[in-house]
Amino acid sequence: MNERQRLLKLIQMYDFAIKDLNLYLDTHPGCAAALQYFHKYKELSAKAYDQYIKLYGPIIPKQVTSTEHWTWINSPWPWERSAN
Amino acid sequence: MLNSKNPNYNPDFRFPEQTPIGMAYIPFQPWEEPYDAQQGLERGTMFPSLDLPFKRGAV
Repeated sequence: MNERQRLLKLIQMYDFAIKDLNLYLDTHPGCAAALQYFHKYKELSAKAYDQYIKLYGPIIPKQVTSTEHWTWINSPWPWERSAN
Repeated sequence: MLNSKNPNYNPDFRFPEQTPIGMAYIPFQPWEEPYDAQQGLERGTMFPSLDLPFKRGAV
C-alpha cells in the first residue's frame, strides 16, 4: 500500500466512523460521549483530506484550491489504469 | 445472549408484556465504547453490540 492508498484508506475509515456515529446520534441526540467521538473523527477526517489534497489533488471538484489552474483534471480519471 | 457484549445493556429495554402485536419494535441501543475506525470499517459497524454474525440460512 503506497502513501496515496494509505491516506485514502484513512479517509474511508474516518468517514465511515462519522456516518455510523451520525446514525447513532440521530436516535441518541443527548449522548455526550457519542458526540465527542463524532467530533474526534470529524477532525481526523478533515486532517486526512487536507493531507491527501495537498499531496495528490482534489477528491471532489469543490476541493480545487488553485486560482490559476483547473487542477481537477490533473489526476487520473477513474477509468485510467494509474487511478486504480 | 447477544446483548451481553454491551455492559450498558439494560434488561428494561426488553419489550413489556403489554407490547401490542402486529407492530415492529427495536430494542433501544445503549451507549458503549465504539471500535476504533479501522475495526469499524472492517466489521461494518462502530458498535460491538451490532457486530452480529449475519449468516445465510441461520445464525
